[in-house]
Amino acid sequence: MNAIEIHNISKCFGEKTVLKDISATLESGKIHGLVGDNGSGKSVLLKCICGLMPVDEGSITMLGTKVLPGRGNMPNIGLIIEHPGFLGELSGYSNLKYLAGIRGKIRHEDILRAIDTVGLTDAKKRRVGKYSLGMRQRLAIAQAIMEDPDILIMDEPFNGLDKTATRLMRTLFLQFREAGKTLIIASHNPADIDMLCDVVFEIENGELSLKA
Amino acid sequence: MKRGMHLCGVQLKQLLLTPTTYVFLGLLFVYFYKLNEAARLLHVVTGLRLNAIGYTVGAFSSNGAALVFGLGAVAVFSGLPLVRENAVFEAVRCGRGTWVSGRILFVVFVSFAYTLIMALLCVLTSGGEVSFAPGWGKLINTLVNGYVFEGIQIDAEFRLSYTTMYTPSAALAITLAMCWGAATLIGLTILWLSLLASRIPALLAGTVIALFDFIISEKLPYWAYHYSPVSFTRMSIVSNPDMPHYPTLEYAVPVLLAAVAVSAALCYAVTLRSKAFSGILLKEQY
Repeated sequence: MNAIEIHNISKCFGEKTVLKDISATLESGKIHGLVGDNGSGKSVLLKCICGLMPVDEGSITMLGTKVLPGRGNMPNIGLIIEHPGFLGELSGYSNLKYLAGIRGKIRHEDILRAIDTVGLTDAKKRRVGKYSLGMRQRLAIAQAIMEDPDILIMDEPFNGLDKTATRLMRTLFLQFREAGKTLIIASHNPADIDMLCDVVFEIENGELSLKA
Repeated sequence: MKRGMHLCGVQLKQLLLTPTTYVFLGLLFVYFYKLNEAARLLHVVTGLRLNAIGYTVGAFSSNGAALVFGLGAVAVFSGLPLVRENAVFEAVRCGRGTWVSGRILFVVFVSFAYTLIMALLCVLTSGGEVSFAPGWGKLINTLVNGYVFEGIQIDAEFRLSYTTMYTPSAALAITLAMCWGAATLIGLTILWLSLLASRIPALLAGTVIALFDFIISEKLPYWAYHYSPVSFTRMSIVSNPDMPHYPTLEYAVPVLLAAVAVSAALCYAVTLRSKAFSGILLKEQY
């Protein structure tokens, strides 16, 4: 089954058309890259795919289910946005516990495992307000993977990460692919895209094309 | 519902972790302490203790207390729709219905707690005797008849109508129920308007609801009390057969319930049917 099917979607903000009649099929078990200049519409496309933003025309199907922005339970996706936000007064663990409680499908041990995977075990009880940018990014990755999602949607997932953490995350994403998960990565860094992605899409002037 | 309760629980926790909450409670304490100065003085002058339960009903029936109650509710709900830094992560895990249910439950719970705290502060600072006996006590019965003890003016409205119809406990229960409803209505109005437009018009609408009772008492004809939910919290208004232009309790209860139900429905409608949800969420996030 295809993980995501995008059918002729368009999105405008006032007079400006950000996405123009975009169609694409994203196969399961692959890492898909999304590249493009700043303001080209990468983030908007990802928000439309995960149902945070409604499209003006067209439709998106995820794992066979039509995405209706926010209408019901989202399919099992993990999301990392460009500037991840957490409740600064709560600890990293408490933030994840709260988010995990919404779906209510994982246990305490699963949260701890996700924290351990991203290397935040020592800082799990520290207030997120005291986290560095890189630690916040790791926490964002932990929240995305903790519920064992079928699809991981990531906007600039390597933002603020040092070399060691970047290596760790690359390995983690490759492991996810091995496990049959589908990943979409939007990144400015060609090295990340080249190293990880099986298929690369380029977005330019609102149009999506398969990159050679 | 379970997910809605979870979202509500976290928002309540956040409210308890916010220092402003405690500053606000401190201000309320100071307000009631000053308001009840005359009541405490009455005890010193007469040697008699007020029935604190009955006194609270009278204090909540006054114009000033209704104004403070309404504006306080606006302050309590000024943070709605409670879109925090983690809103996007929250939104991918639940639908709009769950999201707004969490907010509605938050409004209902906080309104209840707010009403109870207000009543408790009034009881505690009155210097009166906490008694659940059916009688209103000698002092209140004398005050009902318009007697003023050595020029001490108490900022409470006692009426023969409700003191003869209800016991103090029953009258307080009615007052608190109406206060709960009025605060919930203010909160829900702020919620759906903040989702539909923005916080400024939402808070303005909440403030108008809160101020309407005061405006009526100053400028408008008495029949306008029929359209003022905050006035329904005053036993001197809703239980006053001597004033045929005032709304009755039989009118106020269903109207308040209907208004709360309509506001809750509007919260759902605005969240489910418009683009407001995504707009608010992403605007506040970035």
